[in-house]
Amino acid sequence: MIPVAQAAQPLSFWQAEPGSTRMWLLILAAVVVGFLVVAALLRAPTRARPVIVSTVTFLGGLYFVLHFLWPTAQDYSPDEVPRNAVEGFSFWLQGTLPSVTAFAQSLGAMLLGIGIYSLLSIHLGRLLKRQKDWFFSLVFTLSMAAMILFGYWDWISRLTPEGARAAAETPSVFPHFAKDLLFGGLFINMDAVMFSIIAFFIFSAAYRAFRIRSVESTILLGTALIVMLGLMGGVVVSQDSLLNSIAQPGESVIVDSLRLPTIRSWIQDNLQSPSIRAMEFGLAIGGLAMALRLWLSIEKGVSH
Amino acid sequence: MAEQTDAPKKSIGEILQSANRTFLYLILFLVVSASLVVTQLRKVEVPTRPEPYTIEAYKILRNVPEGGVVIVDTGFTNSSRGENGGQMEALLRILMRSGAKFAVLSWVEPQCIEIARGFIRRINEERRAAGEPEYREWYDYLILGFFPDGPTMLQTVHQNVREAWKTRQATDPTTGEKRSVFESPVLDRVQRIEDVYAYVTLSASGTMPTIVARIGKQVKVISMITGVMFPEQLNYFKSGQLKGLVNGLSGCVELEWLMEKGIDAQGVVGGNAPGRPVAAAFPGAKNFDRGMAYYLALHSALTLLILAVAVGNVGMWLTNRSRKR
Repeated sequence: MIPVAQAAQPLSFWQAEPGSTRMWLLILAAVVVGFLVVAALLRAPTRARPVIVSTVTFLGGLYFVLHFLWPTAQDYSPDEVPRNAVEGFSFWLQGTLPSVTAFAQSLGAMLLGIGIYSLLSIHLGRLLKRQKDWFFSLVFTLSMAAMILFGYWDWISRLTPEGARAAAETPSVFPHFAKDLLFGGLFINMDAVMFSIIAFFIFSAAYRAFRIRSVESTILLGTALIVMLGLMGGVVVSQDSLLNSIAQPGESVIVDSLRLPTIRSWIQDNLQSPSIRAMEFGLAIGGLAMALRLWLSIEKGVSH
Repeated sequence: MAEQTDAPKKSIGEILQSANRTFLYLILFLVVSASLVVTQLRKVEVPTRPEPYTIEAYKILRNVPEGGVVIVDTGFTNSSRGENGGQMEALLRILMRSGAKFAVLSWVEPQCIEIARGFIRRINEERRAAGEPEYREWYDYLILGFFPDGPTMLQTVHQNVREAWKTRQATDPTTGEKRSVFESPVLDRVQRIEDVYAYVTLSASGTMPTIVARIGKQVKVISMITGVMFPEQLNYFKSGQLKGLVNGLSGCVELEWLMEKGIDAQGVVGGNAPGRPVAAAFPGAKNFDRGMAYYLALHSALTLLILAVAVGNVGMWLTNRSRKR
């Protein structure tokens, strides 16, 4: 076994032990710096703002483009000394990736915060002004507050090291019960109900719309029928047993060709997969074009 | 006057085409509910025939060496619990019975981790009831937590897994202190992502290509997905980028079927060929659960769907025929 001390990587300037004072100070500093940057951006001349945003976007994108395209060293170690400028730049790209990743994680976490802020500003505004459907906003706000309260209460009382120690001696039942009731009892089931309702709509829509009106719809219906039958293991096994009484697998090409999995595989391999592959290629090229437009700030609405 | 108010009598064809929506909903509700109840009461086991991609997934998971590490990337919420939930339970059962160690992470939604915790708790309770040792956090499994930016995290994992997760901590029960996850018996031997035996992603969305593009060449990636996402991901299995694939509820049942029947030395599912099996079964253990519990209901719902489409089309054909006359 490799000793942990040898294998553990030291924390960079941008990282801190979870729960440490340094971590809280870094968070505080990041929030203050973030507010200052936003305030500075707001005070910047209107013409300068798109330039700043475009430059930051371009540099952010450039880093990952270079990381992807620049030759990288295999089994890179921070202790290694580069032999030339190309390798030096490669080492810099590889060495800075963890810090960039940490920054991206923090940015992603802040986006969650912005999402919560956005939801609350809309619903609290509607609630305070007693606008249309204010009652739903009230339900949302109360549900969110309850989930946050009991979620954190349960977390602190059971899952932190101090909480776990205390819970081992005197288990705190109420927060755990409340969180389980909200999450396991209500949320999980309501979420599942929302998804299962789709089955009713699909059933009704298939009955009304799936008609043999043309050659195309007949092909579609036939294919759907085979795929649906192929999904039913009971039908597949029964049909297999029936066909086995005529000929064992491998004995007759004709009988083998009539087996549901064979037909379904043929449809999947020769019709479905190539079509999806083609669509995926198209989507990827479209995505690449869109990414380029965003990276170079050509897309309107990004920096304008 | 009376003739004017009387509604024209509907033909059989028209009746067959105009079933009330509430009636359709009620039939579906009754049929699916009855199937679920019957499965529970009679312990119905509907036979199935595992697909090659499920077999490959099982072969990998069943052969994780004792103490081998598997990363469980959970990306599903309660909306796809019906499919991914059963897959997760089957996966946990296989890993725990094989003595594998696993680490759970997510980069799709923060609640995925909480949902995964619930599944681990449930399987642990099942093990306790069966008199088997429970899986303990820190010693046997780890919760790495939520990563708000998955693609960059995976990019760092590709380069240096220890850098990617170095700030992640878990409570060491012996000291009661938080320590680096790399000090835990689960990850202490993992220096590079190649040291991980398999990376399993459970998702209801298209997260798999992001994983395959970054670490697919370094570690065996297995995808457990919903039926809707399956056709898209099949391409990745066919190209060899995915080493195993589990397709929705039917895939979950196939996995349970393989756990029950195993794959013998000649590669036959449920066979008895002498020699070391390719992927052994778990005889006498609880193998059929959530997948099989819903399988009869899936059969009933699909049969009903086929019948409804057939009835609608027969109705249209009868109506067209009477019009031509």
